[in-house]
Amino acid sequence: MNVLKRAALGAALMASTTFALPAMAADLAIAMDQIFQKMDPHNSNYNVDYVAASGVVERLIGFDKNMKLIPQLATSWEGSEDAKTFTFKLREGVTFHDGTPFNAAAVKANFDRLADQSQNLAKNSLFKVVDSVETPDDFTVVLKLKEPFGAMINTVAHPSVVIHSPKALEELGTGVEKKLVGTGPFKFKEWVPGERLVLEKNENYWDSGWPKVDKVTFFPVTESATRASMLLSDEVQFVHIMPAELSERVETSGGYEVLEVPGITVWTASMNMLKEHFKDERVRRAFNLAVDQQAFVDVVYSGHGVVPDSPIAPDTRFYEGQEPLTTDIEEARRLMEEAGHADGFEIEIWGTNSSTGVRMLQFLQQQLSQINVRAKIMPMEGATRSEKVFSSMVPEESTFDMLLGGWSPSTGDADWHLRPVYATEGWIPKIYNMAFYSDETVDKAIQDALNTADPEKRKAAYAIAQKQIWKDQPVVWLAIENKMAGRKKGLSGVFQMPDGTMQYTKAAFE
Amino acid sequence: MLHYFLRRLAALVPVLFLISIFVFLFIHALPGDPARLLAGEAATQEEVEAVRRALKLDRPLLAQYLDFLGNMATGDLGNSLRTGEPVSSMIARAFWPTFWLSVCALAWSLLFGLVAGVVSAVRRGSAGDHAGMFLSVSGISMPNFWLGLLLMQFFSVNLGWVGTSGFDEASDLILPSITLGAGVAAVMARFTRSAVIDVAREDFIRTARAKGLREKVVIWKHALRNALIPVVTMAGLQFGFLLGGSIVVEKVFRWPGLGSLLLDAINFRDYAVVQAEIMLFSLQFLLINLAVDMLYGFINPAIRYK
Repeated sequence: MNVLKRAALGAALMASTTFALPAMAADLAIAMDQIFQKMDPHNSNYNVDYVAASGVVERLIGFDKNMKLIPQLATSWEGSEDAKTFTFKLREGVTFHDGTPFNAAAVKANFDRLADQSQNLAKNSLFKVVDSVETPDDFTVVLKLKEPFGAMINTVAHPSVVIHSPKALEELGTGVEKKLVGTGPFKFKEWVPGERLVLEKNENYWDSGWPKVDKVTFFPVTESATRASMLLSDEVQFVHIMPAELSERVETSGGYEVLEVPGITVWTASMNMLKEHFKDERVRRAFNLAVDQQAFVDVVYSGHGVVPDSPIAPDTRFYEGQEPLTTDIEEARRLMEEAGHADGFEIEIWGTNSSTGVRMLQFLQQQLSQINVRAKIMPMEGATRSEKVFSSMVPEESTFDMLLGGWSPSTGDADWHLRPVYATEGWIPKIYNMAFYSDETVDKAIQDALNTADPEKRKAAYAIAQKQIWKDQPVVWLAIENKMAGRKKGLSGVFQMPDGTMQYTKAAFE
Repeated sequence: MLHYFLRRLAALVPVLFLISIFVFLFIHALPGDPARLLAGEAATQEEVEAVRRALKLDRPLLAQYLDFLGNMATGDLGNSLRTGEPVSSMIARAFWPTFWLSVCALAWSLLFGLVAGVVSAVRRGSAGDHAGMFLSVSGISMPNFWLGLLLMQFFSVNLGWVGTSGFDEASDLILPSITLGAGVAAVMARFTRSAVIDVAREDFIRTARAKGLREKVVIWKHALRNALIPVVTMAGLQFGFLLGGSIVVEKVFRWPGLGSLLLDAINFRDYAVVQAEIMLFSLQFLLINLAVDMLYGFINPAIRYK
């Protein structure tokens, strides 16, 4: 497309681009906000990698646009009462791009690879609970676990749990990250790291009628203004992650639209509960009352977000809405006084030095000054912050008072939000509990929910956990930011997901 | 002269050795843990440790340095921590886009800078001089990401004359080299102007005029040639900087060059890539300095090498 476009110069071209597309309409180009790291989802922790690979290598279970589970290579699934055995029925008549038939043995090869902790793959930990993978017949796979793990279905739906061609795994080993072979609607064609990734149509895709585009090209474009320009000059037809400040430029230009869905990333400012003043529940409540969350959404995300009403986001599985947050400075001051901090105290708040990160810090600093808290804000470069946060092996040695962070449960399940962020086992540096919050009721509810595969029982347990955390307020809840994207009008089937990934396998031009 | 050249070349080896120590120490002294960054923010501690083992980052620092040094001596730059790809092929791929961008940016900015500088010097105090110097101050002061985005909006989005970004064909060089060269052109113009003004006060210029040479010859042959020594030195330095890849311009224009590579490598603390790139930049600088020194002899035959 670029060649065609650039061959013709001048205004004549501008007049023609709008109408002269039919011949190229079947090619889709997408600008991503980050560079690709590793093409093998088993060995990556990054959404951009999962997205790119998702057209080539498929999962047993996928997510629909609201993070509900939908069949992909599995047609049905169920968990046993004790949450230790999970059975998947597989789709028949599917073939890998290299001609290998898709069957239980193929799934076993992939699940064994994920379960084998000696592989040192980034996502091995997801399958740490797996004891064995059994294949009673050609189209049935059974996962046997070492201990109950009720969130296993959502773990199998995790965007990294893809099925590679077993032949490719055997021949290429870790080399699959350079040449993916799967069952998806697109075949892997070319990857130039840092520049582009090209996929082409799989003519023999099992879901007949799809795909409807011939070629998909991904460009990693880290500069957001450049992404917008590429969309507006039709070099790409979809921009993954369009910052709020650029959305107006895209919307007013005609021919393009801004898509917006609520995300599942909950932003918080954790209060270090190992520090004396945050041990007092009244102080934590005062902090939440002093911060105007709606104003936070307006200031930080130009209004493109929502105020949380639970520790987890509405699109996360087993979410239960709690009492809405309120802002009441008078009450906050009263609570501070009652706790003996009428004159406030000094704290350090850590965050990142991106422009959004700095806005978050400054906003908090201003809001907390209303209850006489003198906050020193410390914006840090990403890697530096990460090191400072995670390097102290002893929680008691962590020096921050408050820490800004966002967590997105990539399995879409309450377990992978509540456990890393609010369970005692999640205390940093182990996972992401940065408030050093520890509550027996919460820990037990989270464990209870894992001990069963029955959705009703899990829901009841997570309701208890959410209610208790909401009452204890170990963090200042801030915002759930919307995931925004830019799209050319007339393109359908390409959209971003609440978890920060996106889908494009059902792409079609009008 | 050949002897001098070879001697200078040999002297580079100990310098590079010292640089290797500094580069290694500095990058490892930076806060930030590559294993944690690669594993991702959401990783559990176990995942991070698995990555650390896989990358051999759990070994003592000295052992890691000796590996780095030993590999480098044999021309092996190691593998990227992030992608596992050999660093040498990553650098080979990123070198040429940056090289061509640097050459184009330097070419137009040198030409513009020299002409604007000489014209300003000759018409000192005139409206043209003020306009030229106003332009150069703007060129130096304008943040180049802003200039780049403006050019992109106008020429790519509004007019559609060239693509926004990336490097697929020669025309893609136009906007980034204008952006990258703007600051250099401004520096060169100001530098040339003051060098020519200085030289114009010299006795030999008065002599040239007195013996009846035409003003054009006086300026372009006698004054400019003698003003060239500091200008060439400056141009060499600028070229060295350009070859290091402009992180900002490369990011804005999605340029697949050394600057983008370095930025990604630093963000992920990809030690192997950062070390190799800094070593390359140092080597480039040293070689350009040497080339500039050799050029002096051609510009001013009075300079002799021993």
